[in-house]
Amino acid sequence: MATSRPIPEHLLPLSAVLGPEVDVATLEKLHALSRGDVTAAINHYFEGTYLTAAIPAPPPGPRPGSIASSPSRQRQLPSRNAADLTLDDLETPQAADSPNQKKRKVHDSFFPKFLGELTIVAYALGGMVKVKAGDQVRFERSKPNPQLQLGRKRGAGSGSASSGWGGRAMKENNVVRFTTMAGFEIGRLQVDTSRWVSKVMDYGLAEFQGTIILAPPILCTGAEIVLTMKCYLTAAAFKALGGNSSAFTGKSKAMANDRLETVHELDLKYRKYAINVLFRELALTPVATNSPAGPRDVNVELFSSTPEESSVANGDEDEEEKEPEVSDKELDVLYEKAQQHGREFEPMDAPLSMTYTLKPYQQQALAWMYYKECSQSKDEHQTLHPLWEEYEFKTEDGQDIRSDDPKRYYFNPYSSELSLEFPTSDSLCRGGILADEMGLGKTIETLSLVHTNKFDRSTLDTPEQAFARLSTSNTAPRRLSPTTLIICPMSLLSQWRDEAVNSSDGSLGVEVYYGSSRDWTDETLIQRDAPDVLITSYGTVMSEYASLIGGQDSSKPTDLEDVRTQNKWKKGSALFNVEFHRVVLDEAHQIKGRNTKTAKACYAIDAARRWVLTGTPIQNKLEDLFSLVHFLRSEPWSNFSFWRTFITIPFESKDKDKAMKVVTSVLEPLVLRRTKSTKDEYGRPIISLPERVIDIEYLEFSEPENDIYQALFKDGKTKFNHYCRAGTVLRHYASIFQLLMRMRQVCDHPFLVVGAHKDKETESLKDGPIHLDELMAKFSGEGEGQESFGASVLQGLKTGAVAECPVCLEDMDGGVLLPCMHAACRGCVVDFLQAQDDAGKQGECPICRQGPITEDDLIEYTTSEVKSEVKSEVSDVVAGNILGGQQGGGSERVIQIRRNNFKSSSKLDALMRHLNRIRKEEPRTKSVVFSQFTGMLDLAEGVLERDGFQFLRLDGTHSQASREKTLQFFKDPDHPALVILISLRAGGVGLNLTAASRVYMLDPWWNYAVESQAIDRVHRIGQVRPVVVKRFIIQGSVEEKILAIQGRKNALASGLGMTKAESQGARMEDLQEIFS
Amino acid sequence: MALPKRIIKETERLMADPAPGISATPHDDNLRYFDVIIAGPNQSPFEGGVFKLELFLPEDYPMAPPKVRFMTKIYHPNIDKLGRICLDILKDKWSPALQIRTVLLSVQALLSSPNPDDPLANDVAQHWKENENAAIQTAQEWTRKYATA
Repeated sequence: MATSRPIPEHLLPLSAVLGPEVDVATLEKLHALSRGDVTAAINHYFEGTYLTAAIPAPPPGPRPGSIASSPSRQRQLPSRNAADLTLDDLETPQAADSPNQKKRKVHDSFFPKFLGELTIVAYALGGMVKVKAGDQVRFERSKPNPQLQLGRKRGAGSGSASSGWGGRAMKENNVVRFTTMAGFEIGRLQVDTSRWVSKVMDYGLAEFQGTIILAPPILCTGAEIVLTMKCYLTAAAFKALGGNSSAFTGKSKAMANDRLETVHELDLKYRKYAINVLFRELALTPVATNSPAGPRDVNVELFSSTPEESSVANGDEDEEEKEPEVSDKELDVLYEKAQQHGREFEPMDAPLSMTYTLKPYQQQALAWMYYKECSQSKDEHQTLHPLWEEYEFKTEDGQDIRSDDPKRYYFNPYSSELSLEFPTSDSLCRGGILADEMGLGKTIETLSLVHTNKFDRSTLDTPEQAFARLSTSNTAPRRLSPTTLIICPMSLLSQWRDEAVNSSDGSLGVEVYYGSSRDWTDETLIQRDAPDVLITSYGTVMSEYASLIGGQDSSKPTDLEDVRTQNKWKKGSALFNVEFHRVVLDEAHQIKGRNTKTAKACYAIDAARRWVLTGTPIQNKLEDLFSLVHFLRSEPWSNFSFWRTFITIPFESKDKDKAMKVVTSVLEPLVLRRTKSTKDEYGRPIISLPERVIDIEYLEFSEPENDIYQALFKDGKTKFNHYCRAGTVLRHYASIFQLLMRMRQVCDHPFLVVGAHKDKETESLKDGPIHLDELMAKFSGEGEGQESFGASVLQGLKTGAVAECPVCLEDMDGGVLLPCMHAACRGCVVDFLQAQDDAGKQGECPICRQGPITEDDLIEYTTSEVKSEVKSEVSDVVAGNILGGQQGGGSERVIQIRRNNFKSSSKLDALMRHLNRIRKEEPRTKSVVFSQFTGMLDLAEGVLERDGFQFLRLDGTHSQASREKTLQFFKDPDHPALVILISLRAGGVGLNLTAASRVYMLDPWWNYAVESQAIDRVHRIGQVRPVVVKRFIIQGSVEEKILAIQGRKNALASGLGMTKAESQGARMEDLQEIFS
Repeated sequence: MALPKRIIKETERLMADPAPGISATPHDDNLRYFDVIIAGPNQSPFEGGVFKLELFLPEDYPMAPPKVRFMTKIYHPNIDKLGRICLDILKDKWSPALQIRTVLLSVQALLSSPNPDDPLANDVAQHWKENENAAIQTAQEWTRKYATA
């Protein structure tokens, strides 16, 4: 034995150089002086400086220096006496979302703070050491100084030792040994224990003190030793997770896109694991939680057994497409809480400046919204942040308790943060998600808020002051604007403007910021006479944002700040240069994709009060909701990695319930949602809409239609079966969809598919109406007798004498003129000509037998009353020629005449049957006709014209101005157009079509929700008549199968989401069914 | 199958405003089946007679002509002994613009002006051509014999 003491491992290199005669104490001192640098230590020794030099504080004291082998470790594991730490020392600049924001002085000697104790079994390594019960032991990591990063405090002098954790491939070392107080090794902890204890020690989260309870008298290798471990939290454990918080703040976008786990993230994961197990092993239970999940089951680990495994599991996180959809049932659960909301608020009346009377539930919404905007600062009762748990410090015998010491501490098992400060769930977000179902009046509710909570304009400059200030000083203008910015889809601009204007007694300034009417600059927006409400479209916001950001990397939100300062005076950036009083996103699911330009543009709008209006906050993914929360800037949920960690990932894995509960807790304070079926406190429905009847009307193909359909179907079936056998169905998805599409189109009208006919058709449509006067001229040029008869017939038409059809003996509506100027119902004549043809005879006039004639010789005419004053307006919107002479009383008889060679279809016939009947029975009832094929709408125009209907049309090709005009006409009860044709896609959102009470769905869509939404455009608040909906379905066709698929919901549905692997099986089934 | 509106309308009008010398009454159990009575036109060999006919409207009426038959025996070159009538509008000259009333008026007119050149009952036609007076006399006898109540 060369020395009286074994040389600790970390001193071995030094000892090897200096020789055995240098004693351990000297080696220790050298080591400490040189901060672990062997070369420096050797220099110290040979220069003799070590004899006089002071050892840098804190002195390692009597402990063997292994733990203190690097300065950074010394700081992390201070001895109980190293009382030089306050939280302030340790605090790095804090992120806004870190709950322990306020700094608080804790007494110097507060740490390490006793946390709890546990009993463990360890085993001896064998050796000369004798221990007995009651002996204190010291724990140490066997491999000194694994290269760890904790926050940004990386030991400067430890670069050479960067072996341990750099690569995960290396088998990591978990060994924890324990020694006598004098440093003699006794044994090591069992693997289970040391796995987490080692991490706790490595991260400096806690210190351990051991006491031997039971030990065999002779320690042979492997002998069991029973120990108690007392655990003390270090100040370092309470340090804000520096790197962590930065990951959770503004730069989260970059993080979110970068799925690779950084070393830092890995650290976090280990730390999380260690501290959670520590709490579990110490059997600590929270005294309070606010978790919606109730007390956390401490036995459930947040990570699958070891961090290694869990990191692998999370390592291959897929793109978000993989995120499972939220089922309807789950949505119901989510909304349940949000629906309770609002009831606890006393209804609040809108101010007098609002001309509308609010319904009770709308008053409640106003109260809730007003509360969300105003009272949050006054909120006295703070609630514990749902992710945090409150614990009480245990007292250890013999420890002095200072009265000002914290008694409680807070632990976030999700982020592994510890705090002494009360973490509140209070978010700075003023605003929320108004998710009332469509038709309940979100617009009105929002406007009532605008009326109620106005900006105090006296603080703003008048234009004169602004001018004065501009010309006299260079100080940056204040950017506060009194304006409420409303962003909505283009089609709703006018609706918002009208509602806003109508809602007000004139005191509300309402302006539209769209297209060429964008004459608001950031300067005018902050003046006293800025409008109260400025309405703009998503497109405008997006394009302004794009031009503002320009070539810059738009993924970095921080850049905007720079851009703002640079472009302060640049025109065209008004929206982004001011802080609005309030911003409202209507139909906010438009921004559900958080990486879309539109979403980013909306995020960048600055406003103190932020609202989101949508009937469907979650369309199918939980992340839909994230984007809204992010827009609201509701911390901490607005942070993507936070969201992902606590919601997305648990939802993807087994922990669905937990995720749902967390989401509920996110939603609860933010969302107000009522549906049409929501009941008030007396159990009455809050809103009673008139009855709505949805009928499916089954139709049959005509024979030629059936022939075409069957041909297509057979072709499709053959191809499909071929793909099936070849196993390439999924590869040919597009072509199968093409087939399906054509089958569906034939159900509407064969012309949609049969190209040749279509050309002829459009040609004949162009042919258009024939001028009555031309006809009269033609007839007057012929024989004497004919002239008088033809002229008298036409004169009869002009005077409006309704003739009886000579065949069916009924009033002729939609009659035809034969070349001999005899008139009859179109149907009667066509039937007769058909019968003649069947009998092998030439067509002739049923009345005078003049012939031969064919269907193409027929001339259609229709008559209808039109008020003369609207005629001129109509003409440029409504297709069709309107002519005719004046008839008394401001009303004139309009006669439309056109050639008859238009082929109808079963669907169109059914439609016209209904429309004609309605026109006869209830002449003022308006109808909406939906189809997903604009070609079908073209054809419908044809039959409508034929039967003398005036109509309007709305599809994707219309400009905003013409959409506006169209909707206005439709709303006008005096407007002659009773029918509006709308493409299902264009009419899906926002439109208010309550002027109508009849809806005709010409074709079914894969997902019934889309149809239902369209129907709700008519059956929404404001509707006073019962709504009758007819859905036309061709019997025995693909349409019937679509109905069945709609019923099953899983479906090809979800809007052709063709990339989702998991639904492919279901879709195969659907296809097989269709082609069966 | 429901009765087409046209048939109902025609019936109503026949009842409300019958043509002179003609009556048509639908059966209660079959509204397409009419009992028809036509008075023999003045200055015709059938004057003073009351002739019963039956009229049936087929399924595809008015695209197809009604079926009309004399029930009362009649001596007429265009009507055979089974009562079948040779009248172009009841066959290929039918038009849906024609009605029960017009058909019956045509039948009435046929009684006034027999057309032996387009015969159905060949022997009667022959008789009519060879000795019109004798034929008329026979017709008058038949009328007295069979067509007087």
